[in-house]
Amino acid sequence: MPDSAFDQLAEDAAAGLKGDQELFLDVKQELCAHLEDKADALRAQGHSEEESDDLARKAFGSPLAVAAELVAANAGRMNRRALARLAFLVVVMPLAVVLALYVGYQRFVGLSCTLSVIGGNVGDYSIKQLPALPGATHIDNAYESKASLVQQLAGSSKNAANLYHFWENHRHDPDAKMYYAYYAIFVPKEFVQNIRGETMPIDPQYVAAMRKGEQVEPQNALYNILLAEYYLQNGINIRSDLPMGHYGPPTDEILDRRAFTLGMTELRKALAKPYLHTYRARILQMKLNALPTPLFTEEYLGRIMLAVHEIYPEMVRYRNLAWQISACARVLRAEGCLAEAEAMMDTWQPYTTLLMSDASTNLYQSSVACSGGEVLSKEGAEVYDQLGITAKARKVRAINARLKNIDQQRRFSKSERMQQDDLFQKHGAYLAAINRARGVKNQVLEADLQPLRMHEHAMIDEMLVEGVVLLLILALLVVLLDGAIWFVLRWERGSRPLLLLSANELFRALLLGIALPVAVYWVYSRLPVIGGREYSWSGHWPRFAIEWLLLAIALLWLPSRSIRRYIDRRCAELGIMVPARKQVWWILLRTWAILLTAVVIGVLPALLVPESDAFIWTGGLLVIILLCVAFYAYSRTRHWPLLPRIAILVLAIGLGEVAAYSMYSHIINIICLLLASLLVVVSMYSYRRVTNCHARYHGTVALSLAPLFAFSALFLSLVVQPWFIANEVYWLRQDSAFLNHMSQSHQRPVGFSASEEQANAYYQGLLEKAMKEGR
Amino acid sequence: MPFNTELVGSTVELLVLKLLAERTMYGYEIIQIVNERTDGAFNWKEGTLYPVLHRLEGKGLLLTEWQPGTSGKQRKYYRLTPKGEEYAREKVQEWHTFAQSVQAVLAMPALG
Repeated sequence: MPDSAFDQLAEDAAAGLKGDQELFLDVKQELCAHLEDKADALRAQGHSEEESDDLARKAFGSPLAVAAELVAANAGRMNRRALARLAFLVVVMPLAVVLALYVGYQRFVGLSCTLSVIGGNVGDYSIKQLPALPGATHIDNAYESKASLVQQLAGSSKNAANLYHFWENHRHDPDAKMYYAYYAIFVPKEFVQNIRGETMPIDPQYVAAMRKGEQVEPQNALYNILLAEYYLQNGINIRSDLPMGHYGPPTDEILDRRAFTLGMTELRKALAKPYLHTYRARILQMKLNALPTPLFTEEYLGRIMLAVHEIYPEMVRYRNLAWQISACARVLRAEGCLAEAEAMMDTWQPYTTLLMSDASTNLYQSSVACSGGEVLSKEGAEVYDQLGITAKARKVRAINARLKNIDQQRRFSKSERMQQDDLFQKHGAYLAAINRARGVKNQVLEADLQPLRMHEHAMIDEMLVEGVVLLLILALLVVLLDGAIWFVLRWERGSRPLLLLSANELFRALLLGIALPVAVYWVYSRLPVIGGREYSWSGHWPRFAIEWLLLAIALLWLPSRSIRRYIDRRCAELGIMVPARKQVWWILLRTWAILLTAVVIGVLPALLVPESDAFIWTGGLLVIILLCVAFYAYSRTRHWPLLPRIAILVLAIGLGEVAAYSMYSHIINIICLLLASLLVVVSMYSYRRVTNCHARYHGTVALSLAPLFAFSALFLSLVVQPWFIANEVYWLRQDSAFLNHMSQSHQRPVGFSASEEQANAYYQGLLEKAMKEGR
Repeated sequence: MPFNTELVGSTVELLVLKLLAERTMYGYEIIQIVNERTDGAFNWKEGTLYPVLHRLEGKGLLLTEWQPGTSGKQRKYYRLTPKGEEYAREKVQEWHTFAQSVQAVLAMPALG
């Protein structure tokens, strides 16, 4: 806006308001507009331009008198605004920024954990390792309060003694046999290195523990099965132990005849018993029920992993025994004991039936029963052929074909009856994972860990919110850096940025720029056809990446646009010159380019050096750049000579390099810091020639965007994310296909969810039918 | 006949509230309308209008908004808040009662 003829008069009249720059400019503009209107009216009445201006001034009255009255009229407002500005600058803004950075760090940790889960690196992942969000410490507290029970029930060979004591203390409980069965799983024992052909003495303590189990529950075949598996592991080397293409014995061989004989004896004893109960599902339910109700998806995922860690290794043992049975038969045949070989191979059917007897406790068990039966019938047919019993071989082959069909159906086919695809859609990767995980060799493949990848839906949403929060924190850092540059660079020249953002405008930008896009995304992500999450991160990540990129652009652009428009409008009202749009974009682009380059330099070590911690670098570089820019700006305002300024800057960067090198000890750090230094110099140079008009405008925009991004990050972390997670927990609770106790429904009896029951009944029916038809 | 300054000063607030109750206006427009309706009888200093407007705004009786006027120039428009509307009604009523009372006294024949 050009200077008005009444500029000085209006400025004099509003002079008492100069303490509040925005108010001063607002009133000055209002008075100028009045005087110009008056002069225009007088000119229209025929007065000359000079006369009109004079008459307008006279009609306005004494500027000093008006100034005094304006100060009196606005005193309350000025005080309130000063207080609000002070509170905003000293309390609200630093608090919001610190809290946002803290929450951002927490989200970063959460995102790392989720990515770690997706990457299958589950070894170090645990509920306890996840830091609680602010206000969520009750989770840890509740966890601690239940710690003793959890520890006593925790599944680890390290605390088998604890498990034993737990059983001893509860030996008269109705569930005592369950506790002992659970202890039996974790009784330590010496493993045999079969590949090297070394044998180890039988562990008498392990045997005694199993014998005691037999006394606790004589009808349960569990202890004999575990002993048989242990003895046979010590007794024979089986060809199936080795993955294809690896070195090792081409045929089965006896390592320890005594153990071999004992193993077969234990197997026969097991098969004479009426049932095999592992109680794992019930124990697991007790353990999970002992934990507080999960509130956060990470915690929920932690429990899922706990379940998988608990159940899967044990199930593998039962399948191993299936491989061992056929190996025993082959060894006996090779030794010429044909009748014994046949008798041994004949155990395949009772063993499969035994496995099926407990298949009603969870889908894993039914899967193992099917898998064990398939392994045994396949190898049994081969053994029977070798023994020349073609009738049996034919029958077993027929059963094997049926069991294979079940396997195929479980894994690949689209059964009309079960509408398996629909089941997968409804119940997610749980069921898919369970079905995919079986049928592998006796080594743990990636597919066996598929259950860890279940509920990608939950993880994807989790990643989305965490990613968005991180993005906003990054945006906050960028605008803080930007604001710091303008604020400090032009402080001394009377072009301080104005803090114009009103609460209404902040709320509007939050609502339309942040909440609305997130809500739209949330709805979109749940549309069954176009947005539905299909439980396959590896297959769909490019699509998710595009969606998130669009969302990120919307989240950064929409609120920025809203704020810029508001500031543009206020600048026009207050007579502040707004830089040309092209120049604004150029400076904006340059700022972002500098920051992005800093980030790229920050992550360079991660790309070039294995196992480097690039994120520390990124944060460190941003801090160095910020400090250097602040220092440079300060030195400029103090008009220091160029040489000492550069000397101090070089010294600071050099010290930074030494510190970084001593911390990380790699040449790439030196290179990256040199690049960062170059970036600092270039960025400083690029800001040298900007005008006051640019400084005020960009500073105002940056400092107005900072609280927006800080509040947005807090809003997403403290409002949206808990809501998302509450939603996901609800969703997860509906998905109880695998372990219904994950649903935390204490009223429901031990057993199944409706879908698991349906799936189990169907597959068990197929299994039984296949076994019967083959007889 | 020019009015006494104090008398004019005490009624400015009432006049502003009454006019803004009719529609939104900017400062110069208020002065113009007052001059039109009083035929220029209020010979007030125009600058004194703004402290009155700001005081009313500070009390939460007025809201402001910058808008381009008919000539395209940016002008700061004032409008009454709901609280201001209520206040304006009270003030107008108060003035009528006051004027009637004064009139009643003035209309009485002189004693004695």
